[in-house]
Amino acid sequence: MYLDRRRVLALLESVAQTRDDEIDCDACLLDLAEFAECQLLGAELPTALARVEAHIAGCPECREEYEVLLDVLRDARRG
Amino acid sequence: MREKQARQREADDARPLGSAAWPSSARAEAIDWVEALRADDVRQARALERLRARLLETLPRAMLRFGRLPDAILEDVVQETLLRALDRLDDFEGRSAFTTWVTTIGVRIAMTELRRRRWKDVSLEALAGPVDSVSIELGPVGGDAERAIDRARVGERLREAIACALTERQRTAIVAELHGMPQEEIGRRLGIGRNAVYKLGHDARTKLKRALSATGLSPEEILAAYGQE
Repeated sequence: MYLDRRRVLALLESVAQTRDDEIDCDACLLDLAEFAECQLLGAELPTALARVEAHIAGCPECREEYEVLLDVLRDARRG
Repeated sequence: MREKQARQREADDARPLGSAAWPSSARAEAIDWVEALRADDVRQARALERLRARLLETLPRAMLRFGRLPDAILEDVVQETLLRALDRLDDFEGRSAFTTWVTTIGVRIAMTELRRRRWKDVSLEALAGPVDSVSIELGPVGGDAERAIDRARVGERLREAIACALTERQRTAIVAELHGMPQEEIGRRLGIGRNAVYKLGHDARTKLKRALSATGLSPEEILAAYGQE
């Protein structure tokens, strides 16, 4: 296997951000709806949802799904 | 049957939907959805049809920047979303609007399908290469001699950590991720689920962190050494 400089830096950044108490994608999904609504309303984030924020920061797939969900919610608010 | 419904109603009453901070209208709406979907009659059919129409309207628009699913596939995605929502109705705790909860399920299924179609012809081998040998690029070793030696030293330690501390599966998972392959797709090729791939990656990163700190270097220090030109 070969990693170029850009990927080595990306790996190091993800290693630096790694925490022991991370939640996985399924646990993130369970709280994602509440997290998205809080973010959209600008409401204070319950402590339990901080782990969703951390997961989204490090998981590209959950981040994409969160962005799509936000778009759906914004759309609904406009409509 | 009547007795079963009564027990269900008692259980629902014991677990009220929505937090106290919820506006009562939102709480009432969530309860309406859940009751309709639990009903074994025309109310359920109507509720499913409303959800189906809503998802078919909102999902494709919101996903557009990531790609587009053919209409027939989108119909399948929405159908699967409704079945999964019905199956997991007991998991809905009322901490969000009901429709938001259903949408999270729909988004996950739709994006998974989109990724599957996009990556279907890409093999892990093509992305990661043989994982029994590890080679990393340090970038140009310019600047003063002391910095060049530092870079070479941390680079070798990082290479050793990747080669020695990780299992072959962990190396495969992190390299494929670094090449942009989604976790579901890595999992499909390894015969495991998305969550298991996430765990492989997490375990690999944790091991790398420990292996690096055992050499007296933190990832932040290495980033500082590599990251400056």
